[in-house]
Amino acid sequence: MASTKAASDVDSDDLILDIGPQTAAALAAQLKQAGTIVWNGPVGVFEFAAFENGTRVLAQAIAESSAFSIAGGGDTLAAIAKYGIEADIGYISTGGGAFLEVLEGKTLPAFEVLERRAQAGVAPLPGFDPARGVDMMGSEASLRKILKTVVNTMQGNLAEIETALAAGDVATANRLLHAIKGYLPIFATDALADEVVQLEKLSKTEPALTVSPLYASLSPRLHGLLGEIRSFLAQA
Amino acid sequence: MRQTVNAFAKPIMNLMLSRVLVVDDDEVMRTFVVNSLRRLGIQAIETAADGASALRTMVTFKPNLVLTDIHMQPMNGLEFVQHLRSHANPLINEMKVIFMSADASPSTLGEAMPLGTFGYIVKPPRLETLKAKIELALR
Repeated sequence: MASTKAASDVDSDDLILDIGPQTAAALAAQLKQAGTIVWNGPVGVFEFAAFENGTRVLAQAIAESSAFSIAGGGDTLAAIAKYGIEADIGYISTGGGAFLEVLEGKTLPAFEVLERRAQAGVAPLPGFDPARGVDMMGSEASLRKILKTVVNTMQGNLAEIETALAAGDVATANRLLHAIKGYLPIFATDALADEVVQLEKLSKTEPALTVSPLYASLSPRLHGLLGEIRSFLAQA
Repeated sequence: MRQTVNAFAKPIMNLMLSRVLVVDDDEVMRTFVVNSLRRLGIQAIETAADGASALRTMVTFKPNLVLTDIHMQPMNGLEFVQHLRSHANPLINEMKVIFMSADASPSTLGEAMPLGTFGYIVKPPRLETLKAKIELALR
């Protein structure tokens, strides 16, 4: 049974699933006076109506505030969508932790690699990250199993993208890039995964004439990744 | 007031007893999610490659949780969940659903959230994220 109580009345086996109305009102008042707002997460389990009040009050306060607001992270985006305040947020980032790191002044690994690459000329970058693959899959045996599927699927995806772009069918290319974008972070480097993210995003709005040359420069790296995976699978 | 949100302290359902249907048109992603579910101790898992075949599997498999992709053909994840919600059988129309997508754009989230979802996972999910969302949905 859900109930609202003061922090001093919370029992040791209670679950606290939202901030209380007094806290929400106090935070909302501060948000309306702020000059800049960075929002990196809901304050309760807002997916459930019983625990959404804090997040809803804060979302409305951010929307009504004259402050420049920046929001990031998957759960934050879900809250923004639920309360329909996209137009009232100054900037929305799909990144979560990465977006906070940029605000802290840190350099993201993918940017760092690309910067070094630019300074050193166009040196080939590895696309395969076996350590990440083992971490994501739980064991090397499981990684090897999924990589066998990857080789077949991705080879087909790349061939279809090339055919689609040659025919001016950028929608099909976008659908396939979207699939690759989904599975690449299981086993590929951040730098390569980020390049696919950028091209997939462009292919949602740009014509084949724009997308084709960009894909042509990315394609050797994706084929290179497949080569690295095949070499890995060939090892005993 | 003290401000803590701890939604995951007391799972009330053993994950090993869960029956999970995974719907994704990408074979790599299905393999990944099934592997992750097995790592969490879930054994009763079925997969479907699109919304239409998932609807058929719902009836025979009787899951208590559905993890579904959004961008699929011929029936996408949003249409699939709309079909679930309008089904005559309450075991199906009240099914707990978690969306998985590589697309975290506000417009897609805006379409997904009103369909009564218990969570939205950006693909590929890390194991701890998947576990937290499933435990929350099955609570």
